[in-house]
Amino acid sequence: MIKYVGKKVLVSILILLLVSFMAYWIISVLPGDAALIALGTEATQERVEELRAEWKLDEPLVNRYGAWLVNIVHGDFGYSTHYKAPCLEILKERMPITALLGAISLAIGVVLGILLGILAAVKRGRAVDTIVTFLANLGVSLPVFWVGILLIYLLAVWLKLLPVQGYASPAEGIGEFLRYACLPCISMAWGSMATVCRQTRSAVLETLHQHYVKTARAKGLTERKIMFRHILKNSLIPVITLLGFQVRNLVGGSVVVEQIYNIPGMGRTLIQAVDSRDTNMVLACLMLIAVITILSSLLVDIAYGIVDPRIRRGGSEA
Amino acid sequence: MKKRGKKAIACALAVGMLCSYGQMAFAEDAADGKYGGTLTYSPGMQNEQNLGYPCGDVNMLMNTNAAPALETLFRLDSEGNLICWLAESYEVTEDGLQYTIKLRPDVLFHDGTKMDAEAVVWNIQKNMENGKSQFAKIASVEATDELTVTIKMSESDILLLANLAADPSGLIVSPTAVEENGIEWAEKNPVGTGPFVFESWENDVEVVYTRNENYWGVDADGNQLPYLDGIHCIYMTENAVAEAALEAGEVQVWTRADADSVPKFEGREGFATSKSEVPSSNINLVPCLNTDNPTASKEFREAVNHAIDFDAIVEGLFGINCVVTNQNSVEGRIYHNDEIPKKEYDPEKAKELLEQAGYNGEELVIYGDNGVMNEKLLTAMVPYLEAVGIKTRIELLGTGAYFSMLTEEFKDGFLVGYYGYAPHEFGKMYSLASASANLPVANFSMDDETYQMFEDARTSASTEASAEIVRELQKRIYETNLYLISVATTYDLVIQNTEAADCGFCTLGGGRWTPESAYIVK
Repeated sequence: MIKYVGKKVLVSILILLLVSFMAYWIISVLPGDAALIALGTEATQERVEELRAEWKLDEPLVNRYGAWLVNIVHGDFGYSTHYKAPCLEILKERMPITALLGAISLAIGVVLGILLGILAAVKRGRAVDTIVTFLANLGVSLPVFWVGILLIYLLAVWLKLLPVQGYASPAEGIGEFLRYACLPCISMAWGSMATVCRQTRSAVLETLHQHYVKTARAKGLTERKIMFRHILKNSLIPVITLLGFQVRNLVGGSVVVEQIYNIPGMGRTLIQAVDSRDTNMVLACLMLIAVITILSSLLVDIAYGIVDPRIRRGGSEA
Repeated sequence: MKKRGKKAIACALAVGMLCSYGQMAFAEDAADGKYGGTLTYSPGMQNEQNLGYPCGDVNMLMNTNAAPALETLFRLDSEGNLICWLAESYEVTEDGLQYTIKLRPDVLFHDGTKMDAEAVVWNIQKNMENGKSQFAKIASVEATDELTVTIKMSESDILLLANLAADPSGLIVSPTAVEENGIEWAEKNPVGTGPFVFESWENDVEVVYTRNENYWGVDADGNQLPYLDGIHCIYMTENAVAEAALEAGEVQVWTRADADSVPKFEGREGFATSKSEVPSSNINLVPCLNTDNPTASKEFREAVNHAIDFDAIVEGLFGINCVVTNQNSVEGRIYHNDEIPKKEYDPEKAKELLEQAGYNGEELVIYGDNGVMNEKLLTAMVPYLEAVGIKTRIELLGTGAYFSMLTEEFKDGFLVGYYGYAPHEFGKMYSLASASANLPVANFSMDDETYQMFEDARTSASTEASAEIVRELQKRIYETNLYLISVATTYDLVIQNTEAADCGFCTLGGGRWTPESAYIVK
């Protein structure tokens, strides 16, 4: 098991290094001078040159990348030219907001997705199945942006139940936090819920026809016991794989949702940083997203190894 | 010999401005009803990186979003007239080489220090030290007594007062606050003399201000200003969300609103829409003049000007907030030259001109920054150009690529260029298109005589004399040489619910507004 995990960690670090270089390179070759964008067309040529030198934009790419990588390893993400503060300071303020909303959305998406998936599978062919399947298909087809705007009009403008935009931290009161978090979390959870629901439904349906389920039934076990001991345990293995993807999707979705709902999280920060060509902040956000994605994939791989020892053994043998 | 007349007009306007606060107040009792409440507005576009240090690197949005806390010595009304604000009066010598500005007494910064001549001198000097072109012609500035600032010029500069009124660099901040806390702190903490005290700024999310209990201003009935308890600015980049926030009553005003949103609110009970009184910017097609390409030929540019039915495009697509222009100004303004003929859509004439230009069917590229308006505008032009035989390609660029194109990579075709109206159309055209432009457009230049006219207009001793030169300049640029093709002038739009009153959004030059007179109708 240790060898299996060690190998996965090593591969993750290599991927992270590759991602960091790709991100740095892409940001560097994008057209546009960060100093010029920051200062505007009325700045003097001298001031543009001064800022370019200050931000080390004139140095070769490899040198800049090397220095940046060393700093990152030492926990220094550099200075944000847009926010006029160290990137780490901004991320410390904003990342927890994204993480909190993402965790709530993931929990909603997974719990409801599994429950609805089981319900649809068990009631296969009935009205409940049709409705759940229709909603799940809708969920995977509708873009987050569209869902977000639709929810705003439905729940905030017409029914006046929730605020259109904004964010209140839990420190301002759980009630206030939930009032503001409701729409963004539903928007983000909607897609995950649909994906998990579809996956659970098909996995449960497949398991229902397995010989061991028929054997359990023949042995006289109750339906509840069959469901929890045999069907669910085996059906959820593919769903675990899906969780890794959902974490990645939620991080991506947060960029859109935070922009719509005016939430000061990492997603909004990334968009602002890209707009103002704030290289350090863009890279800090991208690295954080990469770490979250790779970490979630790593955890899924490890969980997979625990749940299904065949995978672990296969990994060790390879 | 001093220009007393000008001083009298300025002060009369200042008094008039203060009196105008009372336009909605029918009696003192009515003013009582104005007090309280928080105004929430959305500036409707990207945010600024510096909110509180106008002597540093700034953008125009600072004028709007720092307005509750920071004030200027002067303001510009919608017609470009100067209004004394923190300045009580001013005098300028006949040769335009010395300005004497008398400051309003008993004005305090939010940190409790005095807004006096020393403070104003410090602000102007910091701008000069930072190489701001707006102050390039100042030789020296000094405090001649506690409330008098004397500015000596190396050359007369007709733009100086307009820049002090409408450019962000004219905003006055507390020197004590900046020196005690540093520039980085000051950029995030505006400390001025305004009617509201800065509370917090979450970059790209919101700015919060609370009432300044020690504000110097009173309304026409002598009631203490401001009326509101606070101001809340929320940055909303999505139009659909801004619309929803207006409908739900979460914001009362959406400035620089999207033109497509206006019809949804126009005529609806509880909402009002308005077009700014001051034009926002003039859209031009800037030709690549200095390389071997068709746009370098005047006949070709004339052909383009005749080939496109600008009236049909602008009225059909942007009728709400746009007018077709044949120069960098609109009718009724002092810099508008009435002699320049209106645009004439004549495809046959365009074809003849193309022949004269020796046009051989080479592809024309029009570059613009990537925005909805450009996409519509340029796409609409293509069929007109192709109808006269000009094969056309549109390239919409991201901000970075557009800036690079503007300053380095412009080698053919036209580039869509904007000249804002802040401080006014000549001021912006000077800073972007004259020989003194800080970052000139690559491969675009005009003849020496034209450039000289820019300098002559700027160094004129009077507005009238300057305006006369600018009108001639417009003729040279937009008719005689057709260095630029003027397309249209845009106006900012404001959508608000009727709870918000006397906010003055888009009524002053430079995107400034009147937070001190704003109130919530109860």
